Amino acid sequence: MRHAPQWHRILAVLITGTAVMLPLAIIVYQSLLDAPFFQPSAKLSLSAFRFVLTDGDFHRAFATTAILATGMTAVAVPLGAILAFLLVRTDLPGRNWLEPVVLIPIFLSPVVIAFGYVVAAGPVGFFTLWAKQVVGSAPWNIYTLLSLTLIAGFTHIPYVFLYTSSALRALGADVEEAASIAGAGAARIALTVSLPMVRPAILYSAVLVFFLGFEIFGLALVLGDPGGLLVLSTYLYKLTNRLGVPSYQLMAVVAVIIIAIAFPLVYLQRRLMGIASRFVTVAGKGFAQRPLRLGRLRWIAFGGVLFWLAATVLLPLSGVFLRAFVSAWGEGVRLTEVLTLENFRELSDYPNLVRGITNTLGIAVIGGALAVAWYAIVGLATHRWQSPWAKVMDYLVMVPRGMPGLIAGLAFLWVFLFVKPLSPLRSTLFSVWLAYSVVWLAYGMRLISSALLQIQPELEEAAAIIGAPGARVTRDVTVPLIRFGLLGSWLLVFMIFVREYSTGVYLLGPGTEVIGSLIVSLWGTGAIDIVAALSVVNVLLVAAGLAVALRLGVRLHG
Amino acid sequence: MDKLIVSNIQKRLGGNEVLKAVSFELRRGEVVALLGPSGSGKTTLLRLIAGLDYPDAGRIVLGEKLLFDSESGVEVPAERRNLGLVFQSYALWPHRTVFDNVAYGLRLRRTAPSQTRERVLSVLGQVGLEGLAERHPHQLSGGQQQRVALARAIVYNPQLLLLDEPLSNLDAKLREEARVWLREMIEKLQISAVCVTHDQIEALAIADRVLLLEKGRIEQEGTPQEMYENPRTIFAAEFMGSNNRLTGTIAEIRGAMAKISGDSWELWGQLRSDRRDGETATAVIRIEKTRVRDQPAENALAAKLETTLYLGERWDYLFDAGGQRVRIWAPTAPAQRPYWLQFPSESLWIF
Repeated sequence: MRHAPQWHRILAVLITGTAVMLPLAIIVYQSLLDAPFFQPSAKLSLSAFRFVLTDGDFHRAFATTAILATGMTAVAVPLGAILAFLLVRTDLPGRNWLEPVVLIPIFLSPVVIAFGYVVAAGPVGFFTLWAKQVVGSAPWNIYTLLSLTLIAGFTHIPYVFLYTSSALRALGADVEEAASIAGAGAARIALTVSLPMVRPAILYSAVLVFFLGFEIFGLALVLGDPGGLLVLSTYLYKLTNRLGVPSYQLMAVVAVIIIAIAFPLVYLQRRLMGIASRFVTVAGKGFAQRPLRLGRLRWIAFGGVLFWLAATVLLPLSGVFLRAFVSAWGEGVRLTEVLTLENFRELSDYPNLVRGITNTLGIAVIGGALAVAWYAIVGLATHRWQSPWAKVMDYLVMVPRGMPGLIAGLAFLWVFLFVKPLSPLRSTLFSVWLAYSVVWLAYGMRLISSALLQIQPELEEAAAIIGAPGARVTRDVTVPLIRFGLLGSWLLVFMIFVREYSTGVYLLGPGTEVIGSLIVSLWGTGAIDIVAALSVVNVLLVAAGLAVALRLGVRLHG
Repeated sequence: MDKLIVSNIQKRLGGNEVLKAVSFELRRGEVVALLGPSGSGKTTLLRLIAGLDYPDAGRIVLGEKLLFDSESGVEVPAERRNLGLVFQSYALWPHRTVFDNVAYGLRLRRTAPSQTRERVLSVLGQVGLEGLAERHPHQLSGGQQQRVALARAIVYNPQLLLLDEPLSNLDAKLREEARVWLREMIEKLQISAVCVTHDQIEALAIADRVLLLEKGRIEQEGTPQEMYENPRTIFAAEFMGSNNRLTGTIAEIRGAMAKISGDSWELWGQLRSDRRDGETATAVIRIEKTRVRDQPAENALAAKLETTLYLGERWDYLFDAGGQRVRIWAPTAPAQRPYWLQFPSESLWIF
């Protein structure tokens, strides 16, 4: 504890606070006007709220979102919990290599996955047409709310897996051995001992998935549209063109409503996190854990896991890759006749697409490093700082979590329009980088703080006693000790930034193209060939990041 | 090495009064042990002296230098106090070699590289770690790590050496050797040191003077011998050594002596509190002062042997003497015979 004022620390809090609060403030302000804020005639009014709240489309979108969020939670939570138990506690075949593989959906762009489903299993998708040749008619329809819910549920299983598995690992093997000695089999142990004991972690991930359901954008945009399904975020996206004139005030109202739903959920997650960490009581004794024998269930469970991976990763990705290497596809087309590399060559014909790829690389590699540097500076500034300012920072970090990427991107667009000195930066990559870094602030801070938490305080105190002033302690002890953590964070942020699509949507313009937002906008124009080629590039970039991360032994979660 | 004066230190942590007006002095070249159970405030006191935390009130002076004074608002941070501290966990930096760990303090003090090298190697020699300078901490045993920690703390000749439970991370066998070694080192280096410990044997062995802390106060201070042979409170008496305790009421007081009695027994001992006739009291005696007799003796009670434990170098006998449990140590196996336990009145303290 230091009593002297810590100006450099306070400065870090103030700068981050501005970056976080300004977009939020401008959204709230805009929602209370009756016209876009740049119009001189704009007055304070609740008319925008009145319009949205009486709009039938909004009501339908709200109801659809609620059903979707609930449904995907109901799908993802039980399956994710079972998956965690299988991988952590049992002798499931291949559990070692499956561990990183099941996390893949987290690092794939939802809009790429959704596009993959369309070209693989849509009305004229590869697999649909092949199935048609066998059974005569299309056996499925992916444009219904039910399939959207199932797909969303399947792709969110890894989030549940992540939290449940780390809680299961903290659980001592002895509690299961006790049940085993008493005569319980693997399934019974899972249902009566292991999973009930990690209930707080499961509950936490349920709230998380429900919350992500309210923010869902890419899946709903691609898979919901053909069937006329609107969710809150796609309703917001469609509002852009609905009235012919910029309807900022209406978009702001929807954004405020989404944020108003998200904040309590974020707060609830935070509270649950506290409870969950208190629940880790029986930290296992150092015994080597002997996995529970599944017996006959072993191969059935393995088959289930493979089926899920095939449906969630293999099916859409194979669609994307196939589509990228054919010139056209439809009924009566033979695959061998249409194979081509033309789509990739075509990418280089459009300067904005080439820029999109180089920008994505730049923002992921350099921007990712700068973002990690920012997170690290904030993390170091509040590290072991017992001050009300550190509490303030804690809450500030939560704010962007309540703002989905689409809304954050919109808010930053407005910030750059509203704050005149910033306007020249709007059409530069800086605007995209800032929005990305703020959207992923909470994620990045968690990575940094989990690295910092692993440093024993004595290591830093020892340097102070020997005579090192605060800055030297940071330079000579703290930073060297989190070096690997910083490298890992950089790789994870790289993947997240490559994957990101919604944040760039409203910031998209000449000079600010990134692959994710290009896919969203090109999808609207129906340029399937190019979308497929871009998606392949996107997936390959993520895969490269993933390969390096696994090679270096980076943990894929904070 | 300079004189340390700690006066009236008060500290609250999260609503708890951890230290209540603690004062003590450390003379040049002296080793003081802060002894106490967990929660007594001893580690907090060490951290306040080190400057890792600041008191709510009080004053700390080292030699000519005022380190902390709540009245004039002086707060010298840890890095400007020029102290050495050996942490309980050793806190060696895993990313630096032994040499770099030890050299850090000299580099901060802008010592010339050639001189740094010479000094570090000489200190490593002194603590018996020749040839290990290029190792990393994880390549060393616990005992070696402890020596590195000490070398790192003394290499720049700090004005005062602080030791936080320096031996608690070593296993029992190693701890005995390290105790001897540490005492030798401190004597050879002629440094003043404050050593925090919860282990009374460690305190007795290492320190010139022991401060016994309890609930944020100094319960008693004195030389190891005074502390062990002449405790002034029941807490001090029971915290040190292994003891027998008997509870009863004061039956008679004669000068400095008192008679304590129970249902079917009475004993004379030294009255060490302001208990009066008729009040309940506790008699404490070190186990090694309790004697076994085979016939009635002065200040002795007839006792029934309940059970015995064989502990290798000795036997532990457990008796029932007039409803009270009494232990004694004996060199030989028990025999079938009547027992009387004698409590020499000069060694029996009544509180």
